[in-house]
Amino acid sequence: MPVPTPFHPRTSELCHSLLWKEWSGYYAVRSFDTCHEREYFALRHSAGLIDVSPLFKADLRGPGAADLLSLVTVRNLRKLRVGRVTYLCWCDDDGKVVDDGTVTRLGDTHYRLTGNGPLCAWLDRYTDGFDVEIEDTTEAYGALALQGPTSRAILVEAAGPEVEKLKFFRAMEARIGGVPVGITRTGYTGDLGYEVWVGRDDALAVWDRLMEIGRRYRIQPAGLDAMDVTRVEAGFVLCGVDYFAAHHCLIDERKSSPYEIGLGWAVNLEREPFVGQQALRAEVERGPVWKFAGLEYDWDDYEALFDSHGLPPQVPSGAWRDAVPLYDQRRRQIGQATSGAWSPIMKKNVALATLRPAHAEPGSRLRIEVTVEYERHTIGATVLPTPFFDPPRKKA
Amino acid sequence: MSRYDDIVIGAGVNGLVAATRLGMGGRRVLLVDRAETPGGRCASHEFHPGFRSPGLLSDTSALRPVVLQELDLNRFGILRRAESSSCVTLCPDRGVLDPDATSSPWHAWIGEVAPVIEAFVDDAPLDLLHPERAPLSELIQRGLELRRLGRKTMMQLLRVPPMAVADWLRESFDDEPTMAALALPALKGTWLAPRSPGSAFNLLFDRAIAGPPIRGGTPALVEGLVAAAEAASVEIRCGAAVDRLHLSGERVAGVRLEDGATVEAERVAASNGPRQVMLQWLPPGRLPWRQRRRYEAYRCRGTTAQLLLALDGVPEVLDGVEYAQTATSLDAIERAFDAVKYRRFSDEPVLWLHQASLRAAGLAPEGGAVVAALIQYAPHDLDGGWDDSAREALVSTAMRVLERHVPGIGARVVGSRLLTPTDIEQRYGLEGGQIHHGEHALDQWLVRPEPDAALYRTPVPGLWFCGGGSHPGGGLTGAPGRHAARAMLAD
Amino acid sequence: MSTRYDAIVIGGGHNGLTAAAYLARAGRKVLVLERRHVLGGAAVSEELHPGFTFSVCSYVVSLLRPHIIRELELARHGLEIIPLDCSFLPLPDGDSLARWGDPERTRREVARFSRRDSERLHEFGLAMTQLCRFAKRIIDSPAPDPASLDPRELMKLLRLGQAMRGDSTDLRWLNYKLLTMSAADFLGLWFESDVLKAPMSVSGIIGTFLGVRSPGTAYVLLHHYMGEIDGAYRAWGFSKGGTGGVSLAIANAALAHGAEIREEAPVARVLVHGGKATGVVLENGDEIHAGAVLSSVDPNLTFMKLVGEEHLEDEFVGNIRNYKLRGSSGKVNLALDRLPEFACRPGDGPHLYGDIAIAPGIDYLERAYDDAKYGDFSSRPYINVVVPSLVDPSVAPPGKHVMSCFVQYAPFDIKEGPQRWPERREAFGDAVVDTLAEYIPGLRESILYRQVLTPWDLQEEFGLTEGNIFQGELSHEQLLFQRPTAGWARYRTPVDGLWSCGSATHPGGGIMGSPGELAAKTLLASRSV
Repeated sequence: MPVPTPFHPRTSELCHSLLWKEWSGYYAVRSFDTCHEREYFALRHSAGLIDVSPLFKADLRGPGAADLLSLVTVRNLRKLRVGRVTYLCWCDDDGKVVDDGTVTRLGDTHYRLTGNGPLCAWLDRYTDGFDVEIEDTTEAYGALALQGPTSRAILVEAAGPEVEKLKFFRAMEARIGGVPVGITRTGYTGDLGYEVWVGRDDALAVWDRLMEIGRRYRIQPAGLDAMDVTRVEAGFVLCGVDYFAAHHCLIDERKSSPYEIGLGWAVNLEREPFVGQQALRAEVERGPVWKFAGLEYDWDDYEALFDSHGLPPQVPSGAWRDAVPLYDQRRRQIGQATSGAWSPIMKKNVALATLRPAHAEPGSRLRIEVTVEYERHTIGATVLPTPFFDPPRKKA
Repeated sequence: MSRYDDIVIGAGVNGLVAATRLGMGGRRVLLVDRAETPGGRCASHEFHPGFRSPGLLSDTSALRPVVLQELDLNRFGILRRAESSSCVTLCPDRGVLDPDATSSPWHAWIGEVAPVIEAFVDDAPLDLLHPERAPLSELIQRGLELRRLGRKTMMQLLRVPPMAVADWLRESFDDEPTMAALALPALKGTWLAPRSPGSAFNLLFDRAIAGPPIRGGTPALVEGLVAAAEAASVEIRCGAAVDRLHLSGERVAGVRLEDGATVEAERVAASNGPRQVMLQWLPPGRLPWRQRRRYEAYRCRGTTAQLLLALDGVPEVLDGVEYAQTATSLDAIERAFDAVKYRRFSDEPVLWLHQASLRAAGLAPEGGAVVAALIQYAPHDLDGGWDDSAREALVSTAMRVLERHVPGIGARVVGSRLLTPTDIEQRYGLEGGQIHHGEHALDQWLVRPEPDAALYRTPVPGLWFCGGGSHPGGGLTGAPGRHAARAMLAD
Repeated sequence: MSTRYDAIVIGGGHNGLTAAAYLARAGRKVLVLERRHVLGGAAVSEELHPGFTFSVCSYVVSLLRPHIIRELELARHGLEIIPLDCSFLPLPDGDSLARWGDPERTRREVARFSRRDSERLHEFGLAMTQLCRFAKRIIDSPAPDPASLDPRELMKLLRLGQAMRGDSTDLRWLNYKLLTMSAADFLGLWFESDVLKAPMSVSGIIGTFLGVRSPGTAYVLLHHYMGEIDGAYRAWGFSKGGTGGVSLAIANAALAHGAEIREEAPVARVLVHGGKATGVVLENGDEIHAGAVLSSVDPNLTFMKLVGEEHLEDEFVGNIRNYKLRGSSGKVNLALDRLPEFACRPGDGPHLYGDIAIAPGIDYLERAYDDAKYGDFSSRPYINVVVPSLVDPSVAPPGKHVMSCFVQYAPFDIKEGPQRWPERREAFGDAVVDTLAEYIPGLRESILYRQVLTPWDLQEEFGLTEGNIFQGELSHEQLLFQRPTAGWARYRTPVDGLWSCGSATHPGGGIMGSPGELAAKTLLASRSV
């Protein structure tokens, strides 16, 4: 039985489609309307407002916070300056990814960690010997993602001119509707956007203010279906879909290292000990077993396949996450595409995949399974670099 | 270049044995101990003017003959007495009851299987959780040794270890005071009672390896071991408490003492509790969580208090009695144990007594006597803490029980000292006041302390374990020290 | 009369019926003899009060083996299991904890008591599932014999060892700990809170005369997770129509294969001629002959009463005498005229549709055990309550309910002597009702009928010597190759032609069906019938 987020009174009123899903035990809107499209276009052409409160959050305070986070995650966080955010992951002793998320340095000795899954028991494993207090703030804060080309203008008007200067992956404090909020220039859509963090009791005031101001800028409440399409376009992995939390895997084969999910760049390997370091060193030496890559379906092949059944080409509406196998030119399986979508803005049918390194270089040709009228076929696909969609305004 | 090849932490029996053996093997060894005098749990101290304690552990009957032999300890005055010494029950109504006075089929059976238990103790341990790492020939050989007992005896031997002492003894005996006399010596120091499954292993183990005690008791043992160590060119430094391990990169390369000094060596072998070493003496994050969790799970709940009594004469009941105990039934032991589950001590504790001055000179003045009593069961985590009123309550409870079994003892006491589990922790560096460096229970005995350190080498390069927190446990066997040293020399 | 059968099964409990069904399925002529008027043994449903059907003894189905369900087509023969979705723990301070099939919902409830524990539940379940893979191999085949030098036996042991080979050091360590630790300590490897550890650990001591802090109680925790391994066949739930429904489905399967079943046909002795079992004699004097006799009752009854010591060697008799029975539990069955409402979570609701535990803390459970150690029933007992009528309305009239209470501890050897149990019966029942009434204020007034079963009653009425519900303690020295005793752990007995097929054989007690199945298959493989 899911429970509501702090924004539920607003989202429930607006969700005319009654299309909900469960996200970490909370009610989350899939799409406000019976189709997610309008919300998707808002995210890409104006601004979408997404309730991301179910993200797990933990606040770490104390002189040992940076050292603890540097031990637990793959990054050396001692170098992170106040007001900066970084995206990273953390691993188990075998170098397999447990979760991915962000660390924000809110103050000298105050950090916030976010993740897809619960954080406290994991951190608890390592706190011995560190002078740090950890508070689970998942319930304490509501979080909104305001993403899209007009998001900056909305936020400047709602929170003040300082927002104009807020750079990519930075944090600041402000007030919206008279209420204190945290703002980070982060998001999951791979576009210009912000996340707004507010105490749960003040959540509705912030929603109302943003919606009020946003009206002129064509703000649209958006659900998870729309966000899913944008995150595929951005090439972002999704825990539980593109990879699985290592400590929740029954068998080792399901676990992934950071190098296998495209997060190798986040690993600061050569430094003082951190969890999984030895295993990660060994993996770098022998090379990872898998690589994460983006694919594009061959449109002509795709169209021809449907045509052979007398059908127009049908693209998935929204993002999909039922994995399909990938093959090389000799029909040997070389991996699987774990999620994908038709990208309206790029007019491409794309997928995110885990495949053998030999086939993962951009430009590689391979074959992907497509089922039409209950028949399984394979058609051509090409590896593309990700992100598929990367507008300059994202970092401007 | 450092002056030492190996540093051994803890100058108790195991530390001394390990250090001596390493010295004999040509290593330059430094042996450090936090106390002012060596001996560890066997170290003597004056607890009342003219009266000395025989140490926390004072029964030397478990010392391994092979240790005596390999270290040539006879040369240093360590000699076995001619005969073993029983633990008797002091029955208020029936007098002194010796459970070993007559040999029973139970006694005979233990004699039959003793060689297997002794081999378990004296042979280098098998990595039981990784049998595939042992050469097949080794596994077959050990299997055959077991099989040579004969099918029936072998099955019986497989049957006994997981049993409860009460069930095992009641299959062979009816007399409660007899069974209590057999049970309590094996249960002291444990978090087990007669009805606890697995306690039969403790009893089987103790009985199978017991031999005659050392002449002169623990004082002679410690003196001899120190002499042997010095003869092997071991440098012994007392009053040197380790604060933490000194690391060079990934390796342990020495120790940091509490006074701030760092002493370097190629390797460090710790004879104190493995839990303390791994969880307190390494930098945070050095130990992977999967191992950390095993050490956190390694239980060290002390249940023993020691009452040292200085007597101006020997009460009649104790005349000629070396080891005795006060439980007159298995249920008496069980009831005494129950209290510890609720963080209390019972008002009918059971006491194990050692009249140490009987066979060890110098502990008491002429005509006097020292009785060291181990009180079971007294929890380390006593509800409300071991404050003065709790101490007084325990002493008066213990004396009341004693008086019942040793009439007149109260009048003979000229001085006494109580060591609560917290005192024991303080004085002897035993985490939780647990006298065996980690509970003796079936789940902590066959793989001790954890699978990646079961053969004395730890997962941290340069760090070894050589004490009671390793196979075959924390009794006074000297076996862990010997095995560890041999493994280190073969490395 | 002496019609000759291929096999006679003594005891129409679920194991005896399973053995009969397998033998009949293999074409043998089988006769089952049940002493009582109703089939099922301790897996039995009876209408003790008009309109109310009670699962008199065992009350949930836990480990009925999937292959037995398939091979005997039990679903076709009437087996229906309604899953138990909730474990509810009411607390004396008015709070409560419910653990659900929905993991997020459970996480939120547990987080109220301990955030850390709530986050570790998933890992624990995963670890248990991994540990179950090994256990399943052991449960579903006859016990390996470590003393045997027979190459086939050694191969079996080797294969078991090789199965372990792929296991990480961690998993091996956990396996070792699982087999040797106490339930409370084992759970302590993951959890800190009493509200989790108490109800979870107590499943480790069901039917056992040990406490949750006693070493060796951890491995029984596997029971709950075996269901994960059994996958779709997972059978942790209520049997429709009460637990007797399981026995009846198995009986139907046996009948469908041509077996014959007789109720109210108590067996007085096994016929032994020249060291061989040739049949049985009923209490009414009738002799019935058969090529093999299978006894599904416990070894004490089988060997001391039905066979007689004169036909057995002293050593074997001694071993059977050492086989520990010592029942430690009782049962209170109530017919209620209304819904039992818990003050801490009032009203009807899914929290009542699973099992309910009166186990407010580990100290509470240990004190209950302490009482029993010294010869008394627990003044404040552990009680496992189910109200099956809430999901299976067929067992009670509309609006009324059946409340089944499993109680621990009630030692067979009370200090007055076991035969004085009947005098203590009502006081025992009162202790249970008094305890429950602390959580369910209106309980006493709602009771229409009460049945109290003490260990003495379990012995006298259900043929469970000393009232041990598993026909013998599930302690290490009486399991696997030592159940009931070393050398006789593969269903054969020292009497040629006499076989054991009840819970006193591998893999032990609970409603598994395995002892009956494995005994039958071993008998068939011996080609002696």
